[in-house]
Amino acid sequence: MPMITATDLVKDFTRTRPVEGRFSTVRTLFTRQQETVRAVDGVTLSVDEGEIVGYLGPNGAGKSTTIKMLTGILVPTSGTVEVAGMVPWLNREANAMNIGVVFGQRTQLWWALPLEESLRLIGRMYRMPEDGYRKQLAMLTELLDMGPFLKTPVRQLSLGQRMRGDLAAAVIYQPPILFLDEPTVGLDVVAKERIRTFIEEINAERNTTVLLTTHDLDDVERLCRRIIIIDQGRVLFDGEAADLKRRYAPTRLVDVTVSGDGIDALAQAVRDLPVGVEVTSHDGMKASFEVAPERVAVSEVIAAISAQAPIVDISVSEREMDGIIREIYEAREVTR
Amino acid sequence: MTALDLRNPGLRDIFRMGVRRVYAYRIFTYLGVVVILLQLLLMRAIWQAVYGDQQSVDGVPIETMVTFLTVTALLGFMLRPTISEEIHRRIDQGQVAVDMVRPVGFVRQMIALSVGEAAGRWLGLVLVVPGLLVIGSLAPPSPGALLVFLLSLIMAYVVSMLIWLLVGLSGFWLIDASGMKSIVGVVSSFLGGSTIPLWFMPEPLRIVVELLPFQAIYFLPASIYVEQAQGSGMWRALGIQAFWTVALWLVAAWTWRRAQNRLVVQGG
Repeated sequence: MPMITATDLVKDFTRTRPVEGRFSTVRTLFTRQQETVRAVDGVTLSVDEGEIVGYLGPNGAGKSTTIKMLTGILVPTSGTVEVAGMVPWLNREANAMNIGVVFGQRTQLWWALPLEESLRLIGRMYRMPEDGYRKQLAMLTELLDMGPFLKTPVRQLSLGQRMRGDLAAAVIYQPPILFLDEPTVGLDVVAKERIRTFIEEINAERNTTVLLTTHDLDDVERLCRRIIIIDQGRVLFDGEAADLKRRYAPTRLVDVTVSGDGIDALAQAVRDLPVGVEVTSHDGMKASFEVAPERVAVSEVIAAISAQAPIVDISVSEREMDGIIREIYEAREVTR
Repeated sequence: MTALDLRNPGLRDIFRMGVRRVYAYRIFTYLGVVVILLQLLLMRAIWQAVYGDQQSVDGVPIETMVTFLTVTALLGFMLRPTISEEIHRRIDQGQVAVDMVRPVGFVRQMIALSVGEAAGRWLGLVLVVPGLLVIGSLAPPSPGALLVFLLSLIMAYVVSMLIWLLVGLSGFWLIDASGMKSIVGVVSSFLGGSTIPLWFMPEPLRIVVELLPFQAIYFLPASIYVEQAQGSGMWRALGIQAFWTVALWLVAAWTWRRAQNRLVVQGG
């Protein structure tokens, strides 16, 4: 059952066009010229209950704008959205009960209040019964290790602590849907890992639907089976992360090193390689190959080399996710 | 905009946060008191000079005038533009995005906070009253007038809050709305009749002022207190305040509906 659907979603922003040239600042004051920037340009997507979907794209691609429409903050220029059967911006307050939101760049906690009081305020705002609130707070304090800073005013929390507090605030009233807009931005490795584990656990335990934007592909590899990539407001790819890899990086990279007396043998082996293997580098004792697995098995290639040359070291790897994504962002399209 | 619905328990917490804020920014509150007292001192000196040897001008005795100024100074202390400052801050920092995914509307949150701050200030009146009594005069009116004054005071607060709410919402159209705030600040106290009561204003100016909502904040409650507005005049004053309460409420609701479509969240 889809929890989140968007069809042909469009968002235009208009702004006064800045005037260039002499006295540009003053002239901008009197200009009536408006320009329209299309931030989201016909996005269609659907997320099923219990899915964790990574929503990716370079800066300015329209990710945050999409999230803001899905959460009911912004009213789209055109297109339709349904979140748990409701149009978010028409039923803002009812919709709020169904969704938890984390904006990594800002906090939803109250600066002046200690973390615990901020969470209590949220519990009361969402009309949680007292015992339910206590149970959730205890559970989250444990899971996110918030004990040491529950009494600290939010303005004094470190970024990692604040982000954990924000996550707790987003899930404490147990919404069925979570929107996470860059939940790991600016965090160190350990803090990121803690947050990933937490998202994983909440999703597993409550079957929470999660839509996550991030620039950290480790988040994606770890959490998302499915990803949606957008750029310039359009969806470039929507499918399984593994599928993207298969399509973009079907090749395996094989690096071999031979012993000192095998230099000539390696040179010979390089010349005799089976079809489907390409030599990317060859220098004395070392050689690297790119193998297309649909044409020749990696094991066959290794066997062919080792039959001729004394291999001392070998590694087989696939291409990294961020290399693929970078390629897509640069090409601005996905080949089909 | 069902902003009067205070049943959500979270709103009560926000209200309390507003009350506490007044005491968190104590120095600011003290300074406000000092400014108000200085202003009263100045106004009293000016009006005493204007009266000169006369005991009464146009049927208004000097004592009444001093009491009038004391009451408007008090109103100035209580009716602050906190709601517009808060809204501008939240728009400017993009925090409004967070406020809009709550199960309680943005405007309601802002109203709860600002009513909380007002309540905190009203508790802090203890600080001001002794000073006002020394510099000015708060000769208590008849019990009946006092009761009507309290009603008038509440409406004055609502009208003032709604005007500042509108100034706050203007931030959805203007990137920097602080200029708007200064303009309305100056205009509201002058055109509200807090320094020159309407009965001393020249005819053309008085007609303009009577068409504007600002008199409902200062002049009308103060003239009820000093019993310059009595009988039918008093009912008329209350009627004008009630009119502005409703009218500004409708304008604010309409503005908020428009503002939501204009919303741009600053900072991604």
